[in-house]
Amino acid sequence: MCFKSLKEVFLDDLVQSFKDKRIIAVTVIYLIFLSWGMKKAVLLTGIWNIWLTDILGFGQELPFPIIFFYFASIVLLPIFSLLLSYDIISGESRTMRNLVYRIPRESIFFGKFLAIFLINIFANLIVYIIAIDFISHTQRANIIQQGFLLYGFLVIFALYFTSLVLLASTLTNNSKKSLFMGACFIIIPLLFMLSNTLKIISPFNYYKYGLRFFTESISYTPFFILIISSIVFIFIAYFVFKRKDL
Amino acid sequence: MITIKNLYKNYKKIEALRGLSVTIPKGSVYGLLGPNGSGKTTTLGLITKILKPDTGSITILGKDIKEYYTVSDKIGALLQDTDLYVHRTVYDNLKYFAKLDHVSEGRVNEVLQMVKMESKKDAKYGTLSHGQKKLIQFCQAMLKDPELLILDEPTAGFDPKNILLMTNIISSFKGKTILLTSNHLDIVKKVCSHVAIINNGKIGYEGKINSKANLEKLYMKIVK
Repeated sequence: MCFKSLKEVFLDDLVQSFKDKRIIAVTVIYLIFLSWGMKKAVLLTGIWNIWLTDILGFGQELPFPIIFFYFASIVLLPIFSLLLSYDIISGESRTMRNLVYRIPRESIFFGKFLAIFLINIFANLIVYIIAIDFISHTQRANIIQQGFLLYGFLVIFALYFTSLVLLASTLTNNSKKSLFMGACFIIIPLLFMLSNTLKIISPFNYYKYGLRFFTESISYTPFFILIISSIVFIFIAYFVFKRKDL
Repeated sequence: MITIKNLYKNYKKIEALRGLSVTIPKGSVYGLLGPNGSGKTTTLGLITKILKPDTGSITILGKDIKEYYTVSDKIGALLQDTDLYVHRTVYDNLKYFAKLDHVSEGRVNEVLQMVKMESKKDAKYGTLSHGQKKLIQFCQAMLKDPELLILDEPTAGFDPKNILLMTNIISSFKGKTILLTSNHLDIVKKVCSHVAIINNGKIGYEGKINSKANLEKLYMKIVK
């Protein structure tokens, strides 16, 4: 792998992402929705806390903003990751040839992946900072430390969904098809939740573990399952991209 | 400079190349002639790593194709069905490729001057005409002043003025090895020192252009 070329592709994609109207719009909507939702959630604290913590099966009452932040992220993070990443490879079918004859495919692949993943976790960092601000008004516990672990968990989910969508993006040279495939790749694991056996391989099965940072000591097994799954997706995508005709 | 031996490439059920072998000597301007679908573009795609061969061997600038990226900084290519970034200016597009090629930004102005497109450097690439886009794509191939220049149908879609400009530029190069494909015999006759005629994925004729007048007859005989 040529790290110099990887760095150039990474930096260029990163800079261009900040100029890309679609990426800006998706990120702004994601941030506005979560911030607005949390602001509303602060007002509702106390009404929903007991009911939701009871439903979620936690022994300890959690402030509603935390629950809202977490579950809004669950719903929005896969959609955000999909809209951000679906065309990182498929959208460049005509420009890719000018890159491939110059620099190794691995530099292009990992440069593009790292750029879009960084945008994703950067957007989530803003969400996390806003969340901490709102949550700190309602709970004086060691929210920053726990919140940081929660953010780490969200980063792992961002990694999972970005790799999954990246895989969809390498399987076709058509952006619309990769958007559709990426959506299917997210919906299918959601359907796995209906089966006791299949839900073990669904990322959504591990979402609730993030909230346990606030209530009990947790197992780190879900972290490893999600990280290993992400690595598998990245490497399948990489080998597909490396072998495909452009 | 380039040696291809027994190259095969299939696209699902279509056999694009059937044991193609050809040698492109150093310093030659080599024309690859043939009808549409004969395998010209596939051959260039395989040389530039855009496509993956089924079997066969390619040696390029003394290296096996597996080591292509050790010599890729000496190769420039204008390939078919390619584009630059439509929302970026001409200059920003070329600046990006200059960075990838490890050449200075000053080279961008030089290549734009070569194709007489300096006035378009601040224009958005997407707003250019087809011919202008192709000239800018030629510029990206020329950024690193390559030893080996690969041009797939370099004059396709050009008006007569740009055909003349392009053939004059190609003719002016000294010491470069140029591999180009074309459907235009007159252009090949004008700029090439060597020619290969490809038909149904195989080379039908390979050699120097000695008797230029016979090229049409030879071509018609092979592709009939």
